[in-house]
Amino acid sequence: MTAELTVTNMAGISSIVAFWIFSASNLVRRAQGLLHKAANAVLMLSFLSITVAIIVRAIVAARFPIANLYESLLLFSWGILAAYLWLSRAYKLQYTGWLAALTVSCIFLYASWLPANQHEIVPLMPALVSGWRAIHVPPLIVSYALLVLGGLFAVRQLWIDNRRSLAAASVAAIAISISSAALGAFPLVDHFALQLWFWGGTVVCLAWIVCAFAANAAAPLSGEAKAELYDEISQRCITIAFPLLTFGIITGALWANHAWGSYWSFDPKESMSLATWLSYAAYLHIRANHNTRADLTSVLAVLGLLLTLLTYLGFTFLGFGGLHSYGQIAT
Amino acid sequence: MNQSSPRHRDTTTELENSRSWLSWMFVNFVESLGSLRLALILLASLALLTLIGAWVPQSGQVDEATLLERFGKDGLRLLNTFGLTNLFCSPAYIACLTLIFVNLLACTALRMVPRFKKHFIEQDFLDGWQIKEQCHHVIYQLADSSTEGTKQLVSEMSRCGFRTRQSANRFIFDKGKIGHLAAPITHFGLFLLLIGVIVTALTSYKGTIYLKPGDLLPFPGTAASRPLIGKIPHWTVELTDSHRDLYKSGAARQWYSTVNLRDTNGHKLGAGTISVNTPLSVAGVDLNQADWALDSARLSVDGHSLNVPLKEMGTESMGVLPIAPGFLMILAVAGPETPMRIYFKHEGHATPRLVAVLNCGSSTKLGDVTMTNSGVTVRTGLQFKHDPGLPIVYLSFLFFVLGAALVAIPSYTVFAAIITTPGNNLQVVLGSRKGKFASCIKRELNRLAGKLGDINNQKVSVCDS
Repeated sequence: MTAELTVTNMAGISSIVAFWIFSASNLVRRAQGLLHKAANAVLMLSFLSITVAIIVRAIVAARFPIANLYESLLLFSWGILAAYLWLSRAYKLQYTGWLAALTVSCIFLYASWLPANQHEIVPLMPALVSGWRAIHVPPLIVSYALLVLGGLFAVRQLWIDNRRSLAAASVAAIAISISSAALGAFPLVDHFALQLWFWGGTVVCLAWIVCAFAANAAAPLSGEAKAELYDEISQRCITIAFPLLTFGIITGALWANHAWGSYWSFDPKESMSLATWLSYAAYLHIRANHNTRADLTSVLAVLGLLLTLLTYLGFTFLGFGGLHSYGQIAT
Repeated sequence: MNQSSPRHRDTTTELENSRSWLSWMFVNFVESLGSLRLALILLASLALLTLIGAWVPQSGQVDEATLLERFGKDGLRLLNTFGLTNLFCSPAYIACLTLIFVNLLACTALRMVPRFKKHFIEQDFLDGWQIKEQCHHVIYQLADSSTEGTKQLVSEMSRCGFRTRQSANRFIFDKGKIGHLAAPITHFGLFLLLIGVIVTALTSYKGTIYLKPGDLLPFPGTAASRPLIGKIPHWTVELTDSHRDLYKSGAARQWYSTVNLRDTNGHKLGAGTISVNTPLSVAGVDLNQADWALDSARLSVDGHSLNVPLKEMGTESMGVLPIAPGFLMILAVAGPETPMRIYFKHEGHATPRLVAVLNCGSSTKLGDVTMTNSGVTVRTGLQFKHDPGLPIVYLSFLFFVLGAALVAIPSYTVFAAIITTPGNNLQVVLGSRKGKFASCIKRELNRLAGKLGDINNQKVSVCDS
């Protein structure tokens, strides 16, 4: 087993261990504070391991390691952990680390199930041989990580603010998106069936969200401090991710003009990233309206999360083509 | 008519009423056009249309056969009827974009200009009762004199990064004021983008040329889009060499094309070697390496030259030549430097039979016929483009990035006033109007009051207006 694989496995195992420690802390209330500290320490170990793994992979590959799904998932996990560690210090949120631990554990498990050719360091095709790759892709991946985290904290806000039905519908929609995009990475799966599962399931969940929102429109929010805090955290994640997303899209346009002679060709991935950007622009405009309810902005953050997942994984693995199709897995 | 007569006065009043009604209508119309609600509806509509356009393959990106395969004849007819296969050029999409820019224009006039001014013009101080009325506020008592209390307040606010302005017993503390410029800068970027796109639409041209080494092709004949203003120059592109670099595994690492660009008189305007991600720019025209493939296999059959067109099939290129009814010759080659495999296939057999492997320049006897591998001709695909609007678009990108970066900066304004209660006690009222970061400023105020109140050993009260 190579050094890079060892360190990557250490990162994945640490995140799983951290999740179990957080879970155990709910059973042992007397030692909860201590268990939270231990779990956060293990998450820090996971973060350091994944940082080392990325650096080692970069040295071995002699390039920035962001050329296929596996490498992008490593950077995505790094982004989630980095964002959580910063949030936990800024907002003293050690008890919410289970969210980051669970997300990163799922990412590592998924990455480990990818075909072997994804784990290998392969030479780059001509279109990817460019310094722009290291400028365009990392800010986008880190922005996706922040947007996903922002959406997950929005779900927490809904749950605590007595909007359980909205929270449940959000979780269902997220689960459908993730499962369909994740399954799309495997060649034997029928893409048409996956698209049906994705669109059908998402439409049902969105209808559920709309009905639940309308049903609760008149009910007051719980006003709990934690709910307000999660709303604020969700907003902070999105306001920091938005400039990164903008920078990533624009540098992509600059690279496209340099490589293909056109800065925008409405390629499916480009269009999808534009749709995601527009949705977060709408979110920020709504936030500018000072009387907006927290449950509305949380629902929007969840919708943004779905679009982010569709942009990052869905359009590559649900059978759409385009210039970014080199992200697909070779059969 | 006597100007002071009742009839004249009625007419004048009617005229004034209709003018004020018209101006009221106009103002309301402009305010609706620039409203946040309209902006949100348009952003959501544009996002939805873009999502649909991303999901439905667009006719400019895939061919008709692929669309038919995916959607069937009836499905494709339905999609074409609603314009979904050319959504980004459809009236609905263009109308949405147009309305967004109208909304942007109105919003800029109504809100962005005052907001831009607000950054440079200082806000008015608020009295204690105004802070209580208009803001989320906290109150704590001063044990010592107002001078000492003021010093503690200003010191703590400075420590938190706030800039202080004071007028007697009233204060304004600002932090992150530059964050106010996020929206005006981003909106300005959008205007620049619109101007850039219009300039591009009017003056740009582009196309793709496929060349083999030694070919000379003119621009105008191959252009896919023509400018409304200006003309495509009558230049020619000459390809002198084209090759590729391979990795050890045999996969392509890079494609190269060496080109000369000449004007109508044959004078060389520019020359260079292009590769993917390394374009050539000559007199405002960019040439990009877009594609590279094996074009044809050159064979010599008993001294007669034969060119067999090749098509990419995975990592190799293949060509098919009918030799006799039901009998095919199939050529397979990975690159100009690799041997060519020759297969024969009869319709009665399921698989072709390998009959020869020829290096470049080698010959073999197939029955009575001598066949020689004379090599492979490569074909390079170059894209050319002239876009005068590009510098404006790039400038707009800069404003976008700057504006988006400023969004992340929380901007707070805290008002404070020292008031005297009926019992002759001194109190400090600290407040902030609700903004984007409402809960953040609430926590900050509570923390400040808790700390400053603690210094003064006094209770703190918190009120939310």
